[in-house]
Amino acid sequence: MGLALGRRLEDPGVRMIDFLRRWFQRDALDAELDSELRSHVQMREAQNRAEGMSEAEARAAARQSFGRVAAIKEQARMTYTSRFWETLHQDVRYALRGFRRNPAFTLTALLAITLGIGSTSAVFSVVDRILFRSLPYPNDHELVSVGLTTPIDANEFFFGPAYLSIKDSSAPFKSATSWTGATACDLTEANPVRLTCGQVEDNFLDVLGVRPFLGRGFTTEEDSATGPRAALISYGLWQSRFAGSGNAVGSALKLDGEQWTIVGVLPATFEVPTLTEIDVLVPQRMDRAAIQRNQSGRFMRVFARLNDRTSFSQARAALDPVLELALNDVPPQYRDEIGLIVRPLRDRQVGNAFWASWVLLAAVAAVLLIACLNVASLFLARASQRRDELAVRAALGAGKWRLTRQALTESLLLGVFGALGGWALAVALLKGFALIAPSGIPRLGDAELDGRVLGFTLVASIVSAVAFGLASCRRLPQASALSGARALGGSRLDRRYAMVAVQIAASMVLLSAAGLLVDHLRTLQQAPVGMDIERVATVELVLGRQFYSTLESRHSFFEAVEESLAKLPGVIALAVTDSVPPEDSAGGSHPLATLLAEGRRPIEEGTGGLVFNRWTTPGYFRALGIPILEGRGFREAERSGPASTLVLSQSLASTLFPGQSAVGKRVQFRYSEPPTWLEVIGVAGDVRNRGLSEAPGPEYYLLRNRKAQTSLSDRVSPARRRRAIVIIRSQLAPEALANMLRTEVAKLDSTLPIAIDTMEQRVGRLAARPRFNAMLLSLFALMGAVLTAIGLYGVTSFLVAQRRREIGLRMALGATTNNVVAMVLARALRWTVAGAALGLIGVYLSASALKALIDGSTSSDLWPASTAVAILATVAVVAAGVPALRASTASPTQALREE
Amino acid sequence: MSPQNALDLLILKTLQSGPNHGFGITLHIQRVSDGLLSVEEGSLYPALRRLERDRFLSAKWTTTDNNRRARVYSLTKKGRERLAEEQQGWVSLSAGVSKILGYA
Repeated sequence: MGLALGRRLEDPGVRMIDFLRRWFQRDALDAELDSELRSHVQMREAQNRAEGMSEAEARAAARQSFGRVAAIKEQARMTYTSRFWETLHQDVRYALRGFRRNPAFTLTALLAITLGIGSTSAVFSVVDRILFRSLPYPNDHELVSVGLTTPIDANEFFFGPAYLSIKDSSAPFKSATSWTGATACDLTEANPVRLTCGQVEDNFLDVLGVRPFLGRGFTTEEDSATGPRAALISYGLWQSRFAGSGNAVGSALKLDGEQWTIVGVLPATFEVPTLTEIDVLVPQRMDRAAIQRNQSGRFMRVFARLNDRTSFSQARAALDPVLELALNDVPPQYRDEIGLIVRPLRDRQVGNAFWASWVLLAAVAAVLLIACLNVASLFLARASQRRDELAVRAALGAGKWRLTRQALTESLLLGVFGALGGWALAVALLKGFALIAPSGIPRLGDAELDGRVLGFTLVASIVSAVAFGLASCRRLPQASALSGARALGGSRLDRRYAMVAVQIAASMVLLSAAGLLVDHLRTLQQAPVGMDIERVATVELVLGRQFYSTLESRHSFFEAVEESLAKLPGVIALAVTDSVPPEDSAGGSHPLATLLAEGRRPIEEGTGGLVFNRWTTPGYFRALGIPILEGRGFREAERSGPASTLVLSQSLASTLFPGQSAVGKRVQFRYSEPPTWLEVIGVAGDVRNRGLSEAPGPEYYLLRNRKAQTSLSDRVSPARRRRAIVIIRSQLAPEALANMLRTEVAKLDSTLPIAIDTMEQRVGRLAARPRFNAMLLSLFALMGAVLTAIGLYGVTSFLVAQRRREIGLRMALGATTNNVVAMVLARALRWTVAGAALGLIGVYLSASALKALIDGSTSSDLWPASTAVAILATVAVVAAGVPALRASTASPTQALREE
Repeated sequence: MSPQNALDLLILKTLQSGPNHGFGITLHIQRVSDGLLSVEEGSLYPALRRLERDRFLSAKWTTTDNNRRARVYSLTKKGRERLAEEQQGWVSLSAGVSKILGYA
């Protein structure tokens, strides 16, 4: 309508003051309104009298014409108080009174909201960091990890020449940089500290887009073998060693006995793309030629920035020539096992936490769904309970909007209380996660609750409450609702049962997922490791570069340790080794096909997978309780001679020499120069050496001889030689031994950091991740089942309450208790079965995600699902049975007399 | 233009001829419109309060000729301006509506 109705131009400030004035004077204004209305009625009365009515008629007519005084007052009042606050105040008071009057409803709803909000917020806070939050690099979507994939490492890598070809070819990257890993380095100052030094290319920070907090990054000159020694220190080290002083830049840092200059300080938020914790970054000090020669001999992890509008698959396709080039250096038989991958940095970082994260997220979403349905169902139930009350209020003049608002206020109020509880629960859960979580879940440590997360769940629960609060108001009761003729809301009850069915389905999926993980965990923990690990302690040592620069110095140190520890009381057996099963990370491995068995056809190259090796002293088998099945183990006397013997694991022996005894046979490494035959002197029992979930892989043992200068020990990389693990089998409990071990090692080198563990701890740690997953999922499954039980119980109780008269009548007419229970149970169980059927579909659909979580190992698939069915059936019978029984025990006469 | 605006207009117009109380306003409207329009008290008082809040009216308690206490409303300057606007608006509205009604 094109009418220019002048806008009221008002100063908001004035309005506000007016409003406040009216608000504070509202009692006085009320009184004034009262007297004004009274005066009006009197005038009308006088008028009526003047028109000839009697006194009484005049008064009645005046009042009648005036209509509903209360409604007028209410409306008029709204003009001088703000309608909003006034009503809110009333509604909140009313809602609180209602909550107090109906504690069962209130507590159940609060419990549901609290559990839903709390668990979802906590898990989302963890998962958010892993899956969604952007990485701390500008334009992080461009950053990729690129490299060759092989069976020997879980992550992609390059060696020098292939990397250079990437750098040189313009497409598909804007820039690329490399990281050759972190090693232990000693800060050799007044009080020495073991630090972690990461080695990077000069452009590392530039490619990541990170600017140093102080100072500058590396120059090309500093990255050459002859350049000045420059280092960047982490923010943490800057704070702890330099007290955050600006003078740190430019000062000297003595690492492994060499003088470095600090050129900059990294920002506090800095993280290496591999998520390795580092204290110092130093250049790799390799120029092109050095990289070309592959001088470091170490994996280069390569990170690059994609060109604009280049997809991962385009980038991958563009790198085909690089793969070709890399394959040139690979013996043909292995080429099939090698690929090239370009993937987002986040995928590289998250690794196998990816599936775990999604599964957890799905699990809490299921809990949230169950909780929301509970809230909704409660509100529906309450709405039908309150039909009388609402009808009375409607008859007294409360408008439709007013009643709706009342319902909304209640929902919101519950949401707010639930959010407070949920917040507390989430904080507790996060603390709990951090306590029990195994290492290696990226960024768990700094997960914290943030408002977004809480807001999301708060909104989710309120929306469900509001939606159903509104649905229940949609058909506002008419005055006829007061007449006492009560239609049983059959369809409404079915709607509530349908919600319970969905809850049962969600619970079912949760329970069977938890069951699957628990089952997997049990398999892991019961798997025989092939060792006797009771009362076995390990001491792990990594020697620094500065004081143990030569092979001899390292050897003599390890031997001194061996000697002094062997003298400790109660020691039964002791061994020095480079690695310990079942972890395989530090041990050596190479393709099985490189082992040639004398007198047998060589294994087809490129087949057979990997074979592990360990470099140990003779006591190894006794110390770990690994049985020698055939032949013998190593002897002390052999340690001074040249290494010419080896011990095979049972599975390797039967692979190399099927159907015959391996002892006395000879084995050779293909491509070894000059060819050397080694004699198999024994066969040891198989040991789990690829983690807990995989069957034992083939393995052989080499003797740690004193000279260690033979071609054989060339197979042991330099890094492996600086690390040693002493295994001690003792009569004493390992805990009692720990202090003695520490003292003995400190006598030899007081600055050397050591790690003491029991073998049981080492093995247990491998199950930590599955245990964490299983525990969380079980927790959520439990929450889900409890909430579902509450839901089913609630609906059935409601059904029973509504049908009291009918039940009473039936019993009066001769129905037995059993009949009544059966009748009530039948309806509840029909929906339970429907829910379970729906759940089975969910279980089937979720199976593949869960498989990824448990390393694809299959347990008896039926076990978890059938357990879930059994648990839910029990829960359903109890939750529906209790109200059913109660109904049947109610006295029929009493039920009939009521109402 | 909503019924509420119409009521506002009627109130303002009534008060243009001089201050009056609520009952007086209902009587005036009823009388002047020959009984065609009757104002419900249920709408009148909220409207009065609203107009007063928005400073189109001012009110004070006085004693009437019949020695009755009554709250008497009078137009403010702002109220007079408002009346002019609304009146103009109403005239164009009714002219427009009549044309449309006459057209069909």
